[in-house]
Amino acid sequence: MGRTARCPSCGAPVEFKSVASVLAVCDYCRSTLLRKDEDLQNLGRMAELLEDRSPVQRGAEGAWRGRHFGVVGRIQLRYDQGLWNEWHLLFDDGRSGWLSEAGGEYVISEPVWQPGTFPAFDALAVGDRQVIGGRTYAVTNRLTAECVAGEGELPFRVGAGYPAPVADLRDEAGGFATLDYSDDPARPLVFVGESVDFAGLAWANLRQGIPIAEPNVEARAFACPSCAAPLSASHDNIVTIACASCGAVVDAAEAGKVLARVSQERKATPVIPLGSKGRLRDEPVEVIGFMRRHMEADGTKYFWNEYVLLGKENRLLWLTEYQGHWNIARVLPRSVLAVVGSVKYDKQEFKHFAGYRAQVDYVIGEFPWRVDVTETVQVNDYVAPPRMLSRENSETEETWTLAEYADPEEIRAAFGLKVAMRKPLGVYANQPNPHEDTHRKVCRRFWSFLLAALLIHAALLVGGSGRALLKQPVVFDPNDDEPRLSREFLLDGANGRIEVQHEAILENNWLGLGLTLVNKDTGEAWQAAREISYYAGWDEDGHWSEGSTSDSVVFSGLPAGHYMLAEDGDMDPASRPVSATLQVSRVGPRWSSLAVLVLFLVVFPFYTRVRRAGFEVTRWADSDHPIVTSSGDGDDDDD
Amino acid sequence: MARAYLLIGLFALSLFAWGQYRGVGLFDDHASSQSSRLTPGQRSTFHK
Repeated sequence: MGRTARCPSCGAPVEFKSVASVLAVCDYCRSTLLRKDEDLQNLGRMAELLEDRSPVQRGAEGAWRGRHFGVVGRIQLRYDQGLWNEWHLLFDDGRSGWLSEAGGEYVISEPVWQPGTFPAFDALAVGDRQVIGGRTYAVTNRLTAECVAGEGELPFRVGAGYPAPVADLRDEAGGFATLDYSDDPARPLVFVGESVDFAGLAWANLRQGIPIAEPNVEARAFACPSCAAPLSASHDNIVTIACASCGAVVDAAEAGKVLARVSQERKATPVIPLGSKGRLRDEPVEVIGFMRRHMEADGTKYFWNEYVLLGKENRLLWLTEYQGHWNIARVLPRSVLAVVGSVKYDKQEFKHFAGYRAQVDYVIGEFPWRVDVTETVQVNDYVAPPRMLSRENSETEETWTLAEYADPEEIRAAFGLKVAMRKPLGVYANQPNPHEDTHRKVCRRFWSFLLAALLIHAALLVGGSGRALLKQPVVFDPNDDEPRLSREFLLDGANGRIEVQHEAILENNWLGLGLTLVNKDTGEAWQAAREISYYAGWDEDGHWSEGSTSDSVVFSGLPAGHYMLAEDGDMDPASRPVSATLQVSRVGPRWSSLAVLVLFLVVFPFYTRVRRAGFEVTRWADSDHPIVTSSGDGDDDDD
Repeated sequence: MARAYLLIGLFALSLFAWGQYRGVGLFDDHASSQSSRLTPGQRSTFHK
């Protein structure tokens, strides 16, 4: 149950809605009031909050996991990279929670009692794994923030300048945990929750629609402390401004402070001018910053450009461009489990492409974090075209970014650019393989054709005209010149085709056959000369053989009628009699024709596969894992 | 490419179906398609 007291400083009512709240900031005189039993102790005046255009405010209400909550307080913190808010939530069941708001990303967490011990803050490193509540989290962020100010009810004592050593942990399912070492650097408070979709929290009484105080124009528009060029911060959550005139990197909060300076020799002109507004994949965006970065390999520097975009609900997006190849990227609100050579995300495997150290070369514009032009970060790229996961590691932070390849024309159209976009050069890491689609279609068609061919062949084998007309033994004797006459057989249908087959018992012997096929009805005769020979033996290389004991010949264009076959045997006079089996049949579907068709049809998918593989070889040539197989086809085997 | 393959494949499949129906094999050995008339002597041989 809530309790209302009087501010000992100004007498205004101060409400404690949560029994867990021990501190409140008077809304009228900003006195920091510590609850001690029934009394309020005035700890002094709380510093002013910095305007950050957050859509949340005290008094807002929402629901998370089916539980209604109200926003009762806030702590605003500052760290190297900017500001973030921790909104104190009071659930209807009386429990406290926190809504963390940083860079347009929102996380809700609740305090949990966690048995066991955690490493001390100093012993904790980015990438360390910790098990909390049976789930494995990775440390993605380790920093010491500083409290800027607070408002409303808070469950612990804070004040401007209070240090807050915290470590953020994430798991693969979007789970989030915080180890807060503010009270004790050896024993952290543990908070567990998840990344949340802001719009999905069923908000009421948000700050949206409520007039936001205009920022102090003088404070947001000022002269560059280095060259006096006019600078401005178009958004209140801008932390760093980089001067395009002289290269000074200026702290937006302290307009006179130059944090660093970038060499004008490295000056680069963004294709998309700063301040450009557009609509990228159905999201309104504005270009607020531009930076040029590089990596070095074998003594050569490779440069690429990054555009910082402010999207919906202050969410940040990146556009990256390298040699005409564009990517749209977002920071992932979760960790990704990396195994040797690959990572899995969204049930998709991403293969490791390259690892390198990246450094900022040139910056202009506004950045919602503190730009450090001297820092280098370790980057590892994993690709599953058209997507790419990038893992950036610094000493204090691990960030996963998901990028998707974009056509230059899409970028041009999104911002209504009048200039022609640079034509992409070479093959980029996550560039979609242009031959992939063709290969898939051709493979699909190949399987369809093969199935159809098999069905045709099977149907004709079963129901076609091919059948045996005659089968009989026949013996050829070198001492008997009389032709062997077969039994009579009937051939029906016009334009018939028959196959005459002999299977002879030959061993190092030959048999010449003069065949005369006679239509007894018309007296027409068709002739063919055949020779069957088979020789085999052993030599120093082992067994050898040549020839065959079987033979077949086709008679075509035969009219219907009664037929007989006369066979004249020609043999070595010294040979023993040769036995053979004569078979006459109507010709049916040929296996050889099926084989030829399949060989012909398979040429096309083979060609498209080679073409696709060639593209992949080019792609991976620039990676840490170039394809070196002689076939040049080291990719998947999806077909 | 995929469309050309569709057309070429359909043509090849049609040719295959016709050939299989007719029993035409690409590797068949063929007897002479020219017929001749039996002599009276030969006729008597086949009309025993």
